[in-house]
Amino acid sequence: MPNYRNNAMPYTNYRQTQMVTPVVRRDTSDDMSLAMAYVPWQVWRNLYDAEKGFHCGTIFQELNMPFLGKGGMKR
Amino acid sequence: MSNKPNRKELLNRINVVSFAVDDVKLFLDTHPCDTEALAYFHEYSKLRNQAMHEYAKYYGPLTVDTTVESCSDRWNWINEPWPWQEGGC
Repeated sequence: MPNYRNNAMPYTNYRQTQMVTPVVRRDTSDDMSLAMAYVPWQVWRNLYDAEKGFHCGTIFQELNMPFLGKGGMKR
Repeated sequence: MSNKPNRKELLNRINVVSFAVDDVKLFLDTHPCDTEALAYFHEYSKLRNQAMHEYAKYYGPLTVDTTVESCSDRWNWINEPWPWQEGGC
């Protein structure tokens, strides 16, 4: 299943989106029914070494998503 | 006889490899046939066992599974400081 992780609109520029007219998105293929949540299937790749993984809380670089503070930006 | 490893370092080692084993365990729950993940699991599981047994040999067992190392003649389990005590694991 293709990975939809990157093309989600980042929530950071919330103010600008208010002025932008909504864009029609074509990323749902036919076999995906509407109104369903989808989680991309994880692939075994990009590991931290054990020591770093222990400190970051995950051995997978892709899952290392520290909370960045208000509005998703580094404070 | 290899020299006695430092307790804190050995404990940190156990934490690090145990965490890796736990994380790959979760991955394997959803990807049971992933060969790379399986190899990773076996590698770190072996490392974890070695570290646990080494810790048990020098500083007493952390879990009941490694009591064979140091509780042959006496139940040394109770000698070591309890986790909540100073110097505990």
